Amino acid sequence: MGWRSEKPENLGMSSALPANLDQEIDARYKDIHSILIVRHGYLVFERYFKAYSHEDRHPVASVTKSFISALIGIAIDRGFMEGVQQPMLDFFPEYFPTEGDYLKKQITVQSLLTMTAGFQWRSGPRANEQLIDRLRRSKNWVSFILGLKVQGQSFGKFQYNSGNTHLLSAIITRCTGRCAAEFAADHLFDPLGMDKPPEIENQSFTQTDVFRNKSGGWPKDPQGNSIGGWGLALKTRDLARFGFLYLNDGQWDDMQVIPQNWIADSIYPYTPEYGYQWWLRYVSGVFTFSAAGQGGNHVICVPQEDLVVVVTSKVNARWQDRWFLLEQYVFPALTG
Amino acid sequence: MNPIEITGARIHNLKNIDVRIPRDKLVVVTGVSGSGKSSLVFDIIFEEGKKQYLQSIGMIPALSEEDKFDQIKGIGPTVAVQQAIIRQSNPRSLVGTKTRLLAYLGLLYAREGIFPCSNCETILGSDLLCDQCGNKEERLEANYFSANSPKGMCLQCEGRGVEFELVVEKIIPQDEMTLREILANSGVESTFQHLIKGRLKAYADTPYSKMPPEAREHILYGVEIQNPYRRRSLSLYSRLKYLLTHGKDVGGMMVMIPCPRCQGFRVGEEGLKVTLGGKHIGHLGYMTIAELQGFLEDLPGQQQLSPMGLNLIKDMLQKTHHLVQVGLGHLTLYRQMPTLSGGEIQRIFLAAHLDSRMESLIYVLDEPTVGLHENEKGDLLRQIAVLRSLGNTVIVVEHDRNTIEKAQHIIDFGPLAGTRGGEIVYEGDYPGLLASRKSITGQYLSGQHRVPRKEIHDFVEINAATPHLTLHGARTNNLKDVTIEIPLGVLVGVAGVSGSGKSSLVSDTLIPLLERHFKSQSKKFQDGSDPADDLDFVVPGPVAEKLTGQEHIAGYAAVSQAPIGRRSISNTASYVNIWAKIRTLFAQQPLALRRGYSPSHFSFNAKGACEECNGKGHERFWLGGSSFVTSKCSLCGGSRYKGEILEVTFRDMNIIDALKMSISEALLLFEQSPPILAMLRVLDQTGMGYITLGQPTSTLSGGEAQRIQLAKEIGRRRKGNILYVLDEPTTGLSLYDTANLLELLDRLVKQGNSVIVIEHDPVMLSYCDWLIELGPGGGHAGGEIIAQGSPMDLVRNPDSCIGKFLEVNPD
Repeated sequence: MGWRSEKPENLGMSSALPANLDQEIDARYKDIHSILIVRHGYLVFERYFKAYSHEDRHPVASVTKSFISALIGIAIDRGFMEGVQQPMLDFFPEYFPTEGDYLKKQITVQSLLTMTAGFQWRSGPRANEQLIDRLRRSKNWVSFILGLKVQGQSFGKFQYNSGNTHLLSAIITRCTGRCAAEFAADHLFDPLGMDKPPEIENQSFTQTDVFRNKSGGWPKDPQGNSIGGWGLALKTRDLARFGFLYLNDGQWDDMQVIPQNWIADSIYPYTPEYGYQWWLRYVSGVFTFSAAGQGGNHVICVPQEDLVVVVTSKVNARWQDRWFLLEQYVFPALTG
Repeated sequence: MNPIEITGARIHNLKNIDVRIPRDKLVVVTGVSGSGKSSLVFDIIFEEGKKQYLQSIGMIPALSEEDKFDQIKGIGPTVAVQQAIIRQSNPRSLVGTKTRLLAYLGLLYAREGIFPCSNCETILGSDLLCDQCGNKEERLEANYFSANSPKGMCLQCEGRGVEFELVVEKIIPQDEMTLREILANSGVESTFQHLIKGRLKAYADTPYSKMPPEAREHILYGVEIQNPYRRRSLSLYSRLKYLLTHGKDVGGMMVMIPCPRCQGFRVGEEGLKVTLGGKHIGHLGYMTIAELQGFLEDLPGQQQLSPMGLNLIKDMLQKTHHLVQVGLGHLTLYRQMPTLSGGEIQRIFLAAHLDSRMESLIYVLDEPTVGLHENEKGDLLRQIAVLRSLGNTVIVVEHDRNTIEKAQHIIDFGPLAGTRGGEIVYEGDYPGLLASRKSITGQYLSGQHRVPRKEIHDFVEINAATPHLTLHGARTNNLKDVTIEIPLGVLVGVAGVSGSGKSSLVSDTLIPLLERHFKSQSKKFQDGSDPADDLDFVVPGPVAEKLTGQEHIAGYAAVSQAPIGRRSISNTASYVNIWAKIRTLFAQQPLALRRGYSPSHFSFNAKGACEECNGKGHERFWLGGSSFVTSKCSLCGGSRYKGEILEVTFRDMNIIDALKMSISEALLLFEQSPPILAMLRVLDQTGMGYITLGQPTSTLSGGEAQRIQLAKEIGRRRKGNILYVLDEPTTGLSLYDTANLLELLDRLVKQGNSVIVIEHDPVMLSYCDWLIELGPGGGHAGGEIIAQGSPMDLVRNPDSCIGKFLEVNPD
């Protein structure tokens, strides 16, 4: 069952929107590979560029993080985990913190979800995380991340860290017995009718293997955990399903795929702009929450307007802000 | 080439002078402190050369408001190495990063390094393919070898190479001690009073052994708290670490140990696996520059290298060669720049210029021989001669006799300092200088004027009855388990070549131990830095068995050359604590009383500030791009004050006039005000009579900063029997000024105090009653006492290096 299309003017949007967007994207957004808008459950705008089509799975970088967040919520709901207040180290009994390391003992699943665990890490502008290179070279990613120092002055403060999400993915493996890709296939992709990305077992972990995901699947770390911080490749229409699921309090058709309270918890501002692996932002005074990945990959949900906007783009270190399109084109096109 | 010609130079105290400086020669500019030489050389020659060059390439606008001189001709691009402008304060800046040697080595390791297979440890060939197990390794980028890069740093110590450990047995020697007793024992009691009264009140009198683990952890390591400034509560760990990383003694309660993960090598595991010549980059970081030179010379013979690798080595050897030539061979690459002396920092910059090999420049150097042992000056002067022979003009401000002798042209300023200077009293060659009657410098050099010299009977006799301090088992830095007796009530000199351990012995060991003992007396740190700056600072605390004999002194004062304060509002008067008194004096004048002015009306940082510029005195205009022009404030004309404030006068001087006065002039103005007069007198006696009251302390040279601090210490009303410790006090001093300083120190000793000076200057060392000499070399080759005794003893001692340079009257 796919999306049904509808004209913008029938959905309370200006009929000029498609032409305006086309023009703007053509003029200034050469790196967009696809863009899709859903309003009130109908597809109102859909475009593909650079030989991409709706059939293609596209790597979405850190949008993956929001999926991991969804999986944690499902795992808690199904009883695989107690809850977000559970200490992180409960899941990694093989790791022994040293005596002075007691902050690490205080890190909970919630700390990881909200990016406040305080691990020493460097996040530069444009999500340039310099320790990722060392992470991927290490033989055991989970050990590498757990071995990082927790800095007293960072603990409890927001520090964007893909390592946190990777630990969440490893936690899913530990408590469900299956890697996140498998768990997602059963509990998320199948219920939503999404095309499942194949699991990828890497033989080596070079820069290309780990980041330039040409296979269109979801790669794993050396121990078999699906990469948490990035790595998913999905079809644009499927990304829209995910966003729409969240807009509908976790319900899809008649199934509660994700518990409703988890949705609410995920978009609460524990730190001013971030929930549980979701970015929180006001655009023209309207509340939005989004999954975001490097290069301008987004799944943006606007509950007040019953709107989902999906953008996939080339995964690049520098990119032009996509929010401009929302603020200057999509929102002004809303007529009712 | 045309000479540099300046007409009508009148900045600061220069009296509208005309000067002609020949090009392509070694020109030495000398004269007493404050005579005007730096004003000519740096403020005019260097600044003009820089400005004109930048203007010619369009980088700054051709606008100027200054009235420094009438005309300047024959100027070219200038390069300066000036002590006051190159102060190093970033503790992550290492000798290896400043000289770029670590960056080059990183490249070398990345390109030529030998990798082991991460699966089976087999050494891999250049294709990084393991023929044992088939694994293919990935190359590491150069960043992986840099301790300052997130990719290269050891993740445990973040590239610092050290960790801090509490020694619980020393903090809590008996399990039954209560919290109150533990804190008292630790010596950091006062900081934790609130803990006893607040959160941990319940445990204040509970024995440690009966406290629950959370309480123990709280005391030792702190807990997370909700506080906007810090996430951790105060704890013994954080407090002791702060003290230890600022060179304080903590009685062994915390030790700084090499990071267990990287063994102190600072670099992450990835980088340390890679070797060259059997060594990883951490090994090289701890080598001295001289040792590194040997290593690089041998490397091509030990393994196959690509053309790029050979080129890298060639470039590095050129750098190490220059560094050794300027007397820095004893420094290690991992040595932190802020721990170097002013002279060493300057010579690092000088070595970089030697690498550049440019021609037709005008080099301007500021006392390049400062901090050098007599033995070492020859090498440096040879390097300066090389700079000149490449086709450059080299202008050196110096007091050192050896340098002046080698000059091809000498310009001597005088006759004295401040308003009594600002003229050229001699220009010409060395013989002419010696013969000149008008030049004080010449008269001292030729011996017509004599620096005070002690007769045999003037030296204080040191015998078994003389009280002394004894330092036992010092092992800080390179000291080799040194035990030394330091006589009190006399003038003691500590000598030795660069890196021999003088500062390690005195500043890094003796002083911290004294500080711990006299904790209540000395609260200020000697550097004016902001505590917030120092999150990263690692200055090792002292390592010694103990110090005995402190009961013989009533207190101590350590006066270093560290800059006083970077805040521009600090001036001489405020630093020595007379500014408030002066302002109060003005506030008591009839007009001020009538108008209801308070002392803060006479401060340009408070009520008296000009409204237009907020007391800054200037306005900055942005011209576009990165061009700014600074212009005097249109309202106050640069005075910084509101106009009406300046109407209040004290003995016909307003507040601005007072600030512009030199210390010597101010003696007259304030002769009726004893508290102000007393401090002014001390300043005058320290040879600072030429400094103006309003001079910002950030513009003082290292030597001047030290003398002001010395004056401030002496000016404090104290009981006497104080130990004064000075670090190279003759920096920046001509023989004339040295003579004054010697008299001052003599007076201090005669008043019953003790003085220790770290010195190179043979004149000062010859005046000491007792000498301690460290050596024989620098770095690992130093750290031992090679001679001690009176100057006469050292002259006769074949083991002494400085002995042959001392000037003592023969028996």
